[in-house]
Amino acid sequence: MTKHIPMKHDVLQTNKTYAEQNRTRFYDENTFTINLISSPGSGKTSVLEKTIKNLKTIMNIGVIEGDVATDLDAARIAKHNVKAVQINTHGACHLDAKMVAGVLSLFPLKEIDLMVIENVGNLVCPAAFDLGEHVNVALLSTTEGADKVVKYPTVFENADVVLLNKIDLLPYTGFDLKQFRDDVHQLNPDAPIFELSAHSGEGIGRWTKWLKESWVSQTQAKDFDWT
Amino acid sequence: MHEVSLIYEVLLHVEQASRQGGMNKVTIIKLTIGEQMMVMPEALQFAFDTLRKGPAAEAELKWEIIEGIYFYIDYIEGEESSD
Repeated sequence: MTKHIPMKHDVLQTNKTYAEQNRTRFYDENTFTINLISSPGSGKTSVLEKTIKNLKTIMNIGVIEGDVATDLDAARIAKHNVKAVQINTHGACHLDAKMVAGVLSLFPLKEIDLMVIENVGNLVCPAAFDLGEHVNVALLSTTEGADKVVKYPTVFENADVVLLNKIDLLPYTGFDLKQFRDDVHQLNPDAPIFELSAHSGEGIGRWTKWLKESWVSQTQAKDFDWT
Repeated sequence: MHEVSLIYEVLLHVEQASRQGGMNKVTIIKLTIGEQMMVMPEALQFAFDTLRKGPAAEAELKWEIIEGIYFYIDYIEGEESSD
């Protein structure tokens, strides 16, 4: 006999449960956490290196590096004398909250003010997996083209802040800055945009100032927006 | 490519629900998928065809696309265990 079983089961629930546990831990330990999402080659690690240089005198920083196969990025970050832990996804295209939960014990979280989770280079899959972070950072670079904002809308829609890297290459790439700003603004009117270059250092100060202020207002006041 | 992770979770929950519901063979798995999940139906079907096992090995995968970031198993249908 045919049987019908209604389930209404949220497949993302397992991830959401782990993400909430991570968020609670970050909150309890006063660790301000950002999830950095971009496509491969956009300069996530380079931006992160410049960010660390600017902030490490005032904040203790930890980094979780998501990578499909190597530990090259973690090695690069560790050179800056910050604690970096590699998550090797063995082919998976995104980090999930359980993978992040699995490495948190490797950090002295109480001593870490800023945790940066560098997601696997991908503009599609990471958008669907909440990791328990406070701030979602979407990064695009001028060599990728301004159309990527509307082609991968979920990442930009969910971002709390949007970074545009490689602005030193603007004269050579034909990147349409106005279209980029308009599209981000239309998808996500509240997200601030920081245009910068990890190579020349231009704009890095404005971004790290914003990050520092967000850390101060959110972590120290413990006045989080839990949504 | 996150379709593989999602289908893996789907199969776990379908197996559990079919066992608890006394269903020995699942014939239909119906999903509701939010457009913003950026799921590719072909990749979803491919992942399902690769990973299908247990009571859902011969099931047909159906889905409905809606607005938002959702990924639900709506219902399953199948044949009741005779014992």
